[in-house]
Amino acid sequence: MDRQRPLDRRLTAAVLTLLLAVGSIGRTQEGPSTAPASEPEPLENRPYRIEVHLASDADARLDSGRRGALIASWLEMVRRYVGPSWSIRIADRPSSLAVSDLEGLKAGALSGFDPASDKIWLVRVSVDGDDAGLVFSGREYDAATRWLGPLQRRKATARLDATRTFFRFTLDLFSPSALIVGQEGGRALLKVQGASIPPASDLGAVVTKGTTFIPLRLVTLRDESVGITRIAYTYLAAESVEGSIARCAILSAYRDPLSQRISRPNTLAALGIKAGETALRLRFVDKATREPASGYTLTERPAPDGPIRQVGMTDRSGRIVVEPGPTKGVVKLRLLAGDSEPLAEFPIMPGESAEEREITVDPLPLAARYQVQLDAIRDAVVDQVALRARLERLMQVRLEGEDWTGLQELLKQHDLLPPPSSFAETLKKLKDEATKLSYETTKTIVLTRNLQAEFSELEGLIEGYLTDDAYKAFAEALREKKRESEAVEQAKKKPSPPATPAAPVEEPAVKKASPPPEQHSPANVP
Amino acid sequence: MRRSPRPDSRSKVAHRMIGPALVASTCLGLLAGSVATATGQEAARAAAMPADLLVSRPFDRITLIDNSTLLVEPVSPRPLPPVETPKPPTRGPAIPLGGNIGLPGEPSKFEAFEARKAEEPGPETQITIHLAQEAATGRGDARDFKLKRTAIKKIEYFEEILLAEGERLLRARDFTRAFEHYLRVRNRDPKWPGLDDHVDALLFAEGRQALGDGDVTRGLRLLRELHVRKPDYPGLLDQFASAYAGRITRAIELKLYPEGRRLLHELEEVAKDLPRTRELRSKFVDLARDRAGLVGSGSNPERLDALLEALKIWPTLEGAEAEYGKAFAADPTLDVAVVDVPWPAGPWTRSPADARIAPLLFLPMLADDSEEARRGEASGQIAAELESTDLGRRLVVRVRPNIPWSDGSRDVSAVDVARTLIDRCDPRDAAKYQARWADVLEKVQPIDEARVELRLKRPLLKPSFWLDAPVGAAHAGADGRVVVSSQERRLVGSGPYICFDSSPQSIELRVRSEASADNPSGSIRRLREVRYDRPAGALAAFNRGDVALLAHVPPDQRAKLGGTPGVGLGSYSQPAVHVLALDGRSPLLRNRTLRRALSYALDRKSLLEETILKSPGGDGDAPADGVFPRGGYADAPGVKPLAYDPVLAVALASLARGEMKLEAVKLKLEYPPIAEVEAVVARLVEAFRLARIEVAAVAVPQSRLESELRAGRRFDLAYRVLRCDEPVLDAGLMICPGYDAPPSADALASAASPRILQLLLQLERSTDLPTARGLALQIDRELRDELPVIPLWQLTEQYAWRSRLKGPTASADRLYRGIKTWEITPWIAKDPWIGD
Repeated sequence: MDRQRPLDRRLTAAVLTLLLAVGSIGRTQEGPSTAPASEPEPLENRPYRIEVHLASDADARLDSGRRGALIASWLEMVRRYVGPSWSIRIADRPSSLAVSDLEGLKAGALSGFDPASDKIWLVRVSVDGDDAGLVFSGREYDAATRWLGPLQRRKATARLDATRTFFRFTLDLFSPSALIVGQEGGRALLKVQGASIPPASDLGAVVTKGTTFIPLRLVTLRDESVGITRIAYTYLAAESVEGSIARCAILSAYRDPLSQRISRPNTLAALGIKAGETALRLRFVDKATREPASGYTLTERPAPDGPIRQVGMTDRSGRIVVEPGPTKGVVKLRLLAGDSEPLAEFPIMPGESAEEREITVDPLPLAARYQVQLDAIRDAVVDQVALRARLERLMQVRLEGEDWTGLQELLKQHDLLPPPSSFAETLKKLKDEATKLSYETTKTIVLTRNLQAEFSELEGLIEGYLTDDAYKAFAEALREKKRESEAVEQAKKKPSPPATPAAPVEEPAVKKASPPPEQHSPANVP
Repeated sequence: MRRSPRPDSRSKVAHRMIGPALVASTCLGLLAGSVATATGQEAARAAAMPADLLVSRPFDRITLIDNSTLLVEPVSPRPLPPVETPKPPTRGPAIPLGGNIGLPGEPSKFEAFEARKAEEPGPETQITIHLAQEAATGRGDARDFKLKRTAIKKIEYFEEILLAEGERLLRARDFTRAFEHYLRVRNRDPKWPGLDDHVDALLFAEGRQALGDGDVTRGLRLLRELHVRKPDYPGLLDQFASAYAGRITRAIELKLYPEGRRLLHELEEVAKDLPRTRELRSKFVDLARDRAGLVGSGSNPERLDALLEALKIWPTLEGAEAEYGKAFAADPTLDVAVVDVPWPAGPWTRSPADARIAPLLFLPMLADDSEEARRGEASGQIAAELESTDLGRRLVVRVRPNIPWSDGSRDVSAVDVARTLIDRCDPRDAAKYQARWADVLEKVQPIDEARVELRLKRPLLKPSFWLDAPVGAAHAGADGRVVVSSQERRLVGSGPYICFDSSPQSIELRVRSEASADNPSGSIRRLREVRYDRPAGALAAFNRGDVALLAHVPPDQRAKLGGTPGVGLGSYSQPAVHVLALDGRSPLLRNRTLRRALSYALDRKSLLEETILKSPGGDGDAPADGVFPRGGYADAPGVKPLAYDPVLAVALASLARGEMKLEAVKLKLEYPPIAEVEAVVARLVEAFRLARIEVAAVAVPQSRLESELRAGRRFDLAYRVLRCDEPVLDAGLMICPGYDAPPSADALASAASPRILQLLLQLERSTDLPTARGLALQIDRELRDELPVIPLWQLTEQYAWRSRLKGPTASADRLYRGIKTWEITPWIAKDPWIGD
């Protein structure tokens, strides 16, 4: 059963429901409104109503005159560069929350603001202790989704530059709101609020290529209230913008993060997000024992396919801090057991929140054990490949120099090496054991995808590189030479026939011997 | 000159060339025609001296009366006898005055003239010469030429030429070449007139020059040689005295008194009666007397030190030895030579030196893991009882009464224990922080003055391992010290000794007055550890007798010391395992291929036997395949030894460079300056260099290196000498030096193998011994392939003591085990010649 209603209506209903819910107290006090509900303005044409609470520390020396001048010049810049998509109202008396601990602020603390505003900006102006520059820090609260954005910070090194810095800071602070109107070709289609309003300049565009959103699910609960949940470990990155519709790539730890298979009526919305300055705090725990997953390596790569960088290792409590790197965007984090067995992989944006997130993982103890044994076998195989390659090169030189004694000695050395079949047998035995164990064990996965791939890779390595073909060719050449020598000896012992014409001189057998197959140097080992 | 009757028809040209000289000298006109054709240049060439007399064929140079010179083969005899004037030719027998016609009846007096056979003229008148160099061929001339002695103006023998050249070189201060010239003369004729004088002059000049250049040893050796040859050589004794005086004065300045006395002894053997010699002798005696008299009113230890120093300056100082004996009896002092001293000393254990000294300064909560210790029956511990409840998750430690702190302020109480346990959880204090303890401890609370409650997240495998750490005073600062004055902060302890003085070079402990009352007379009241910058210095101090105990015997000296009379050897109960620790935080060392290359590059057996032991290894000395001692329960059976394969090492290093896209791999190896480590480090670096891995070795004092590594400092390679008492508890620190470091150091990441780190963390969380032992075995087995460290070898570690120290046993788990019962007698090193 499709419980989805038309998307435009869904968002409108949700937002209205939300606004009604938030404003119900006021209405109750004022009595029922008799005014007819006006037709809501289309989302893409609606500007963002932003309420700015600009507070300053005393040492910032921002008196009312300077504050007014700063705001005036900032508004002028907004007008010149952003245009009508921002409808700004400056709070005469900034909220005390603006001078509180912004990093530790919770969304629930901001529920008392005017519901008519789309965005509440809490901005604090302070002074940097090192160089006395003005520091703008703040967070954005989205009233419709009750979502508190990440802490943003920007510093003006010179006071004369304060307006421009403030403007750039507010650009960082601003996050567009959108409605997920569908999916197409594995991409999410977002209708962005205010996207149809022409910006005053490129800087003022509400959404551009690269803008990142987090998806939210607004579910109408049984009591007709709206539950807003973020779809975890999922990001939407705008790839192109056509009119008011942004086509976004879906970066998610889940196969179908925007699934519609929800029992309750729900709406999908999205909120823009920009990486802040705060570090991301993660804590990994064992999903079975709830023990901290300590000593695991965490790597990151910029989404979707950037270069891999090692972040660090989880500490004894399973914690790790991911600092916002140069990417300033969504990265894919991967927690590894050993050096290669992935325990968890998910996208995340460092700097989006300072709150610690707990992530449960299966430590895959059995898979890790087999991983170690596979690594040991691979080391042994690589060593053998290197040794054989060296011996084969030396044999080639002896053969070309017709140093048969030397060749024989090298062949003897080669005989001392373990045969390739021994490695194949060991590997097969290990694989059989792992397969058997995987059937017997239900608590944890034994043969993970990664482990299976490694088994296959190692089998290929043994088959492709550990062959005796070259050895056989050289041995054959030596045998030929021996036969030829014996024939010459025997011919010398026999009296030569007097009148027979000399037989044409044959090429030495070794020259005729087929050349050894192409050798594999250890550098070719994958 | 006449030509010899051996005409040589083949060398007419040569004859023409040498002819003019010969003709001119002998005034023989036979070769006059040739004279006219010869040129002066040819004559000059014929007389040219060889460029190098040392390699030339011997020759003599003859100057004829016309001033022309000839180089001829050495004449014989040498030297020539004096020239004799030729006698007039005899004309037959003379007729007697009475006529030669006899009277009748008388025999006839007539003597018939009989021409006497011509005698060959002797060397007094004529000599036969051969030209040393024929002008035409440049080779020696085989023809004989007779030369009258009267035609010779001057003859310079080859020996004289050599001596003259030697003298010239001597003046030019080319002593080596001059010596070689004299040596050639000696080889030709050891009794050549004037040779000895020249050699004497050379020895004197060279000796004097060496002294002037500061090479005093060589200068004195040469002068001594001259003294043996010619004791009365002019100026020799003065030179001797002057040179010895300089050295002796320098030795006194450097406090190398035995060396100074030895020099004085040498000087006295040569020039005892010189005023300078007497001056030097009195300088020693005066210095010793001054030193002995400096602390007339000082404390007994100060007086003891002064007397000891005085006796070290002059062992036969009158009356000093008896005084020293008395002072020593009052304060028996043990001097110990160590690899490193704890610096700074405090209530923590972060290096082997701390582990050695801390138990003497601070009592632990539990002395060992025995039941007696838990019941409080063991001595040397703070706990009167350890109560364990809630399946080991709750411990209550009852503190013994009447254990005073060394500052006398109060007794040890529950607060001190609680603070110590809490300090070990404070990551801001890296010296005390213990990450494993911080992870296991949930809560510490003093219940009352004498009891502390510990709540743990999980039971402890061995409570004594966690509770045997030193307990510091709660009223002291973070460094365990209290302020005594504006310039002094004194370490407060509860152990049998107090720290009297401490520096990076030495530490002096003195027995506490309360403890000394119980000790028998002769027991150690003062303990002084001295760190020597060079390992050989510690050994030399032990051999001289300056120290009575040597904390570490270099492995190659075991046999020698074992065979020395009056020296005892003891072994530590656990062998020392030598490993190269790797920092996994370095991307280079995180690379498994490079780690394998490092391992393959080392020929452990050869390095051990050839460089460290200098003999085949004993039972406890063997190449290592892991960090755990061989034969222990954690030593996994069937682990293949780590192989040496330089070819694979090169190949793997090349592969690693390719993987990491590097031109070259450059690493820094930090090592403690211990004798065997210093011996082998250069060879390790060479082995890595052969594998195309550049390693720069840097020496760092052991205490500093260990404490910094344990605090989580970054490094590349570190040479570590480990001792493992309990594998399941020591494994982490042995494999990953920063295992207990604060989280801010990201020290867990320093484990180069994540897999081994996982096993270590599992081991840390295991609560029963069988599981823990199984994990230790697994770690040992997998460590060979994962290589989080590069195992090198294990060695039996030994200590040595002089026989005047009674008490050390042949085996001990730590150096000062049972020091309460040790006794020492005074002893002063006497010069070996004193008996004479």
